[in-house]
Amino acid sequence: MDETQKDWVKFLKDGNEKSFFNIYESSVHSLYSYGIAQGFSHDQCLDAIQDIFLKLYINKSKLHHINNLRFYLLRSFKNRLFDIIRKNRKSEPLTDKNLPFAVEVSVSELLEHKEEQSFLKRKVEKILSLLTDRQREAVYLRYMQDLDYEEIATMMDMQSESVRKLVFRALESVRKETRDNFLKFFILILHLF
Amino acid sequence: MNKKQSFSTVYDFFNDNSFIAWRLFKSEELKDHWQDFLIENPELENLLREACRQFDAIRLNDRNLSKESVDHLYEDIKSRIRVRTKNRRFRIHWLAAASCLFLMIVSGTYLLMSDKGKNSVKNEIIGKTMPSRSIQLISGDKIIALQSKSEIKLTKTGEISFDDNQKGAKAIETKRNEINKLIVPFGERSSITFSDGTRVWLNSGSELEFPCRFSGKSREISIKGEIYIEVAKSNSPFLVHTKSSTIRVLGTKFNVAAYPDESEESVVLVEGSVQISAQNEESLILSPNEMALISGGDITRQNVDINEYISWHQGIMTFNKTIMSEVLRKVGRYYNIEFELNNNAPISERRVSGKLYLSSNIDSLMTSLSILSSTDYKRDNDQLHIYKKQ
Repeated sequence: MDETQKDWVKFLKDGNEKSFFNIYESSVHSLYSYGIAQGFSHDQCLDAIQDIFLKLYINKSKLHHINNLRFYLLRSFKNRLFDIIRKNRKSEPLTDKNLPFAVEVSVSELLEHKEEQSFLKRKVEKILSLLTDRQREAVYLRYMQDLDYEEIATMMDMQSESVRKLVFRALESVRKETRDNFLKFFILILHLF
Repeated sequence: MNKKQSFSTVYDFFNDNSFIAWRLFKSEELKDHWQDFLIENPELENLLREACRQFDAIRLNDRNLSKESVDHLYEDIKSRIRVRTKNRRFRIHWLAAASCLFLMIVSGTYLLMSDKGKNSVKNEIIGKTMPSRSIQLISGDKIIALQSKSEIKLTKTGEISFDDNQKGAKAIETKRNEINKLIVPFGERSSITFSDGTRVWLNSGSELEFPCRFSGKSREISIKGEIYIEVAKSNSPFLVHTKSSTIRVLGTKFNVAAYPDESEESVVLVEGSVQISAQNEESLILSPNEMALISGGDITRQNVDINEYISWHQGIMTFNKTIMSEVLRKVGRYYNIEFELNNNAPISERRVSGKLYLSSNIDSLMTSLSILSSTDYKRDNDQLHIYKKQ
């Protein structure tokens, strides 16, 4: 059980506001990042975050069944964002299939390996740029949010088998890229140093 | 990549897309592949581990909101929660409320339009100092006017003693079973110590009813307004009655605010534990650093910074992002100033954080407040003006 889930169990038990704040504080940044990556504005993200935490607090007595709160929050956040923009654009139907998914790569800490790290950062950026928006979203949910295929499928409104295929194809295109472009890429990197 | 000599630094792993894909996709298939790789090349285990460790520092979309916006957003969520939990029972009447609102808007628009040009909304709050009255102690048929800030003591023999600045200490006798009353008007403060050692501080605009001697199984007092109380430990429980609740303790320190003109009562606990019962038998046990809000029959609790609620008894008001109108309500009560707070001046929405030392000089207090709230302050005889900084 992760910390967020522990705080959730505590919050359900005694309504302790400290636990509620911990849940909020530990998830607000990643929710925000996820919304921004999908092209939503700063204000839309903050509005949606407000709404889902209000709902979480008010409806806590009906939400005892949640066994992965981080996943639940991500999903309600995404649904809420879609509700918000659906309200604003009634004309064109909106699905998440045509939304962008931008990924910004950064490196935390480990300053002692600065050169290796910036090399690796560029490498990951390059690889992510080869993927489609949906593939990038799946990778983001897998790597950063630690969701499993089932959960990613629910998030992306797909069958879990399709997510598997999506990720597999992404893997394939990455591996193929190694053979074809390895030399070109390596020379490019050498020039950068 | 089956040749081991191609892996001599972490770069060799970073250049291998199977490695990147394995780490990035957390792929089970590739996990097997790299386990096999290690069986073939056991000497590369440390290098591979180092490459993985460095990879783990990679973050995707790790955007952080500033501490300020995180806190600000949380405040917004909290205030929306407060509104929702408070007004739950009124929601059924939303239709009635909505039609009232509609009528108000229509008539308001009409009034505004007919008044156009004459009265524009000013960004200014005006306060008026009110004539002060004295603290009164009522015991049976005796009514005694007390000096400002006088301290009152009850002796074991049932006498009430108090300071009288002109004549020194003075005492009156009381009859058994008689209920005594201490009335502290707006602009005054007082404190009283009972024979068991329990001490009560009364904030402005408060009334306390107490027996001259605690007898029987429990010690009981009733209050209106706001008190801070330090209850002396004893086996007999101490009960504080307010209009809509009863607080039961053995020995502890806490603050009670139960002003008749406010819809909500609050209890803030400093140490020990207290049991609060609302009229409808709903009850709750409060822990230190918690506040209970009693509204109608409902009791809710939340964690608070106790200093904001109890520091008044030491002559300090503490604010933490408190809305200006609330600050002025407290200041007005303490100094007996009537502020006009319903004129919708935008400055009454400002947030104030910091401490105000409650000096007896209104001007120095108002000057401190104008610094804390970035406003300007001007005094014109009994009229105080708070307005937007020019």
